[in-house]
Amino acid sequence: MSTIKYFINNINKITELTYEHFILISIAIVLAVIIWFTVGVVIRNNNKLANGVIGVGSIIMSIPSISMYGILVTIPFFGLSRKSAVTALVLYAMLPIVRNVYVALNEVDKSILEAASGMGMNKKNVLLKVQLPLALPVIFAGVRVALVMMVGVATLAVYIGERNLGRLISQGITRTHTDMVLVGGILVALMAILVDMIMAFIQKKLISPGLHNSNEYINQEGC
Amino acid sequence: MIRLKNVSKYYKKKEGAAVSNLNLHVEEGKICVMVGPSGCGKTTTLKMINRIIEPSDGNIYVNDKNVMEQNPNELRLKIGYVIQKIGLFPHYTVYENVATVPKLLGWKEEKIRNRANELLKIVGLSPQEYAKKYPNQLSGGQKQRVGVARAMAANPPVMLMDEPFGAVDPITRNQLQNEFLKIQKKMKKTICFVTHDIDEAIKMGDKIAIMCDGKLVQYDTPENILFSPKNEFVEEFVGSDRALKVLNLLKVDTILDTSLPKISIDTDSDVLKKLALKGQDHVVVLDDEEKLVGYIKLRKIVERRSLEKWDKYIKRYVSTIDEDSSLKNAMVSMLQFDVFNIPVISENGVYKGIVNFNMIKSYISEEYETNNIVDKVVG
Amino acid sequence: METISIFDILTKEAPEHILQHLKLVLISLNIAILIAVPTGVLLTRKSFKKYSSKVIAVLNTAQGVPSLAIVAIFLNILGIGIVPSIVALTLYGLLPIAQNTVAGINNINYEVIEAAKGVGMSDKQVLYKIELPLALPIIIAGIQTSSVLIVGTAAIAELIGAGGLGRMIFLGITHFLPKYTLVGALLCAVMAIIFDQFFRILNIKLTRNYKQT
Repeated sequence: MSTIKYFINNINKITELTYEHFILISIAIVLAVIIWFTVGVVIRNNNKLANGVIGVGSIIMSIPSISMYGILVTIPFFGLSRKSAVTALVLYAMLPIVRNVYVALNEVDKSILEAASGMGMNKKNVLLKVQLPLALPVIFAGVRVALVMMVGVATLAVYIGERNLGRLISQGITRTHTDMVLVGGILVALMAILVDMIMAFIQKKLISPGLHNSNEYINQEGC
Repeated sequence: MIRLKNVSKYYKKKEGAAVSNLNLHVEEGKICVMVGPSGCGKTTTLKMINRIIEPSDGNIYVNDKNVMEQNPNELRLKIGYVIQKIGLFPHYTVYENVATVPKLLGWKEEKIRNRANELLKIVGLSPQEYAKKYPNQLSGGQKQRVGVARAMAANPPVMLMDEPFGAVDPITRNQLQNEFLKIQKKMKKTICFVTHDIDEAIKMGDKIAIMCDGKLVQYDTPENILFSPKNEFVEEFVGSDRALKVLNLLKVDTILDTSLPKISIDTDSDVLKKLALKGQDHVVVLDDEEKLVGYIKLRKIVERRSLEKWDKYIKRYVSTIDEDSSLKNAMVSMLQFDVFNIPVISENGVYKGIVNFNMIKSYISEEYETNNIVDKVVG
Repeated sequence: METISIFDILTKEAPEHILQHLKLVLISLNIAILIAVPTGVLLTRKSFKKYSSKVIAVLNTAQGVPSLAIVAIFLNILGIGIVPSIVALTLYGLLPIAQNTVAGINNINYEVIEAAKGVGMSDKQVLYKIELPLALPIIIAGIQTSSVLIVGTAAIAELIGAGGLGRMIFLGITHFLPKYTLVGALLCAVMAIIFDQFFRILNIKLTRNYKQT
């Protein structure tokens, strides 16, 4: 009860923090998709390079977020600014997005690609009209994983100067204020679920109905 | 028309040629079936025609133009391509799949729509029902029909088919083969068709190219392949039952007996008497539209009874067959109904003639003899 | 204090924090394994199978609660110190292991299980001789994910008095001592990477003979 009371009494502050949280992950996901999608497409035909890049991604993924922030703030260019927070989030998105783009493009059924080029499509058309649309579900899954992760990771960015829902938790700890912590924690969890649902909705609109509920054409492992 | 001149393909210098020094000419409007054991180079040869695989040596001409002098994509737009795994685009509807090449060629929307609907009807899929479906909602046979429709979309004069009916069950395969032959009768495409199944080759091919180890062993009509295999390899590949395969290949009209007297149902009994006097026995009875009614055996009747009201002695044939049936079908019916004669009728029931067991037998043995003699003279 | 060199921090102050951090991680990870694997196995047994997807869904949502909040909630329930830290870390590490145990066992080809039953194995034998060994690669992958999560969350557990490398990181942040933050963060990152690679290699070594293809 007291939690709900706290929520209602502080609705303005909470709305502002939620908005900031949302803005941070929005900036990060847009940048991450632009960068890592491009990287995934570029490395798609080079196995060695791809293994290297994905290896780097998985090492980055295993770095604890507080460490990542801690390292970034000590680099003068980033420092205690939004740059550090965004950079950390973009770096974490590397593995899920690059790996899924690479795997998805390579797992497209070879006979479909042969049919496409056999019909006279040039390489650009094969990639744009056939390979990418077929890879889209898996690529999208990677973006979803990255986005949901960002929502959680962003909370710790309050220790490097961000103002977002994590602030409710960190202040709740210093003031031993349970309601603050609960409101912060629940809202972050809800945001993760909500973001995932929005992505699921976009995915449904964006992906051809011919690919729904079907693992036939693409091996979905690794997402 | 497709012409291969001294075409070779080496994958690695050290290994032997996948295809070596191949010469092949597929005439316009004909189906050439390339057949052979796996690894014989038939698929490689096919894929060199649309440059999915680049030839190492030699020249390939499609409609008198050297394929190597054309942009591969433009070349492929003019060649229909059907593969065993079909390769339908799962994110496109049936309609969008069929419309792929016309769209690449920049056709107008309405022209594409008309063409796609026409093609779906040709391959036996109702556009209303199937155009908006996605490939994963289709059965294997339906997918393959869409594959064929897609390949024919821009009306390419030449088609390449790599085991197109290999992935479906035998019943569907037979059905698809028959339908495709019917379509081909109208469309008259120049077709290169790869299969490992000699029966399919005999059924589908105007000419068969038997390949082994990257070389062309024999290139001939199905009849000649069956009657006079060039060497032991071909003989073995065709199988010891080639006499039966010949029967499958030959239509009943090749030995149709039209010499039996035909009479109309309202013929005067005098005519019958005359026929009986001439020594005729088996007389075919037709109605006034030339449709088959039955037969009468004159000799027995003349011996015992008068020919007034002869029509009560008409007997029905236990079985008839269509004029486009094979001799094998005829034989099967004969064995099934324990008869030696089967009348052949057209689609609308008009009498065409009779096939006779003994005639089939003597035809086959004659063909074998003449060809064996030729073989001995030549070889 | 700002004049102290990174080398000094590394040799004089860091070892104590590294050990404390390791202690937190190893204790929590082991407890998490001991709870999560049997739970996962239980969820794949016939009588519980129908609940497994629901339980996993609930745990999945719980995982969406940020580690910071989990840690904070335990501060309020159990107070400050090592015990609440370990409880929080253990809970946070449960999900990946339980989830992978369920997935690993459910992914086994049904024919394999049927064959095992066919040759006369008891349910227990099927579990120990067939299901667990075949699911092992995926279970270890779960432990790998969990270990990395726990290493990271242990640093945050400093906020409720866990000590360890988190102490160096937060000390640096709150007192503007970037060298401490850097050393703590780097060491913590290295520890996570080592755990990650250790389980990855262990998995390859253990399972190279019967990798399911």
